[in-house]
Amino acid sequence: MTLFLLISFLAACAMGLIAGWRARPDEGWALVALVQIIYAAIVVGGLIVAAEAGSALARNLGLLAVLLGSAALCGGLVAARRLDRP
Amino acid sequence: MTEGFNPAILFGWALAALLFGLSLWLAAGGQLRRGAHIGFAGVAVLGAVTLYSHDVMAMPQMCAALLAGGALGLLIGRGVPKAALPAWLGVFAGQAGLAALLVALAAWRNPHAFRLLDDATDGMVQGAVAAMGLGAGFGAMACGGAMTILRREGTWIGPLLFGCGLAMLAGGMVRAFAHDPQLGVMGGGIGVGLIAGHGLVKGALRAGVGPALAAAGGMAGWAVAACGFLLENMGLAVAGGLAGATASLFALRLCGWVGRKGLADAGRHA
Repeated sequence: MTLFLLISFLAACAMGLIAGWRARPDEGWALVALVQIIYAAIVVGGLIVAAEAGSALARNLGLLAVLLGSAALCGGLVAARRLDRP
Repeated sequence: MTEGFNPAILFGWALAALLFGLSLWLAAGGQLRRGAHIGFAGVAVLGAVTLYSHDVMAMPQMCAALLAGGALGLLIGRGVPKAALPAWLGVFAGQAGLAALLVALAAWRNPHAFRLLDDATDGMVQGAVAAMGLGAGFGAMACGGAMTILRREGTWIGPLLFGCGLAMLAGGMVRAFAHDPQLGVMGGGIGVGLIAGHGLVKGALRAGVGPALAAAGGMAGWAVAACGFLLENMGLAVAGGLAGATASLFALRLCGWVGRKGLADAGRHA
C-alpha cells in the first residue's frame, strides 16, 4: 500500500513540476487559484478523521478540519470564478 | 483506515487524480473557470469515495461542518472586494494548512482508531509519526505564511534566512518526534513551523504577493500530501503532491531563484 501511495505521489509531483515549470507569469493567478482548490482536498482528510475517530476530542478536531477545508474549497471556487472575470 | 485495493475505491481515486490533472492542464491553458469546476468535481469524487469506504459514525455533525464551512467560504469569496481577493487566497491556504494540522493532531491523539500502533512494540509506527510531524509542520508553515501575506510589511532578507534556518530546525524536530512522540516536541514543531512559514513567505513577498501566495500554497500542498500518507489515502497524496510541486516550483520561478526569466510581475493584481 505504501509503495502504491509513493508511486502515485511521485507521479503527481512530476506532473506538478511540469505544470509549474511551463506556466507563464500572466497565468500566475489562474495557477495559484486552481492549486488552492486542489489542496482544499484536505476536507477529505477531515472527513476520514471525523468518521473514524474513537475519542470525542479527535472527532471534534476532525470536524473542525472539515469546516476549515470546506470553507477553503468553496471560497477558493468563488474566488477563482471572480478572478477569471475581466 | 486502510481502504485496501477495492476496485471501486481505486477507480474513484484514479478518477479524482485524473480530474485534478485535467483541471491543472485547463488552468495552464487559460481556462481557469472550467479548470476550477473540474478541480471541485475531483474533490467531490474523493469525498464520495471516502464516505463509501468508511464506517461513518458522525454523519449529521459532518454534514453540518461541511455546510457551515461552505457558507463561510461563500461569504468570504463573495464578500471580499476583488482587489483584496489575492490576499484572501492566502487566507484559504492558511485554512487548508490549519485543517492539515488538525488532522495530524487528531491522529496523534487517537492512534488506535487509525491503526497507527505497532503490534510488536505498542508504540506508534515510525512512518506514521513522521507523516504526522510533516503534516503538522507544513500545516503550521502555511498558517504562518498566510498571516504574513495579510500583514505585508517589513524587510525580507533577515526573515528569509531566519525562515530557512528554522525550516531545517523543524526537520530536526520532526525526526525527534519520530523517536519520542511527546506533546512538547509536537508543540515545538508547530511553533517552529509557524515562524519558518512566516520567514519564508516574508522573503517571497519581496517579489510580490503572487510568489508569496504560491509559496504558502506549496506548504499547504505538502501538508495535504503528508496527511495522505498518514491516512493511507491515494487521492489526498496525489492532490497534495500536485499542489505542492506546482506551487513550490512556481514560487521559486517567480522569485527568480529557479529559471530566472523575470517572472516577478505576477503581483500586478496586488
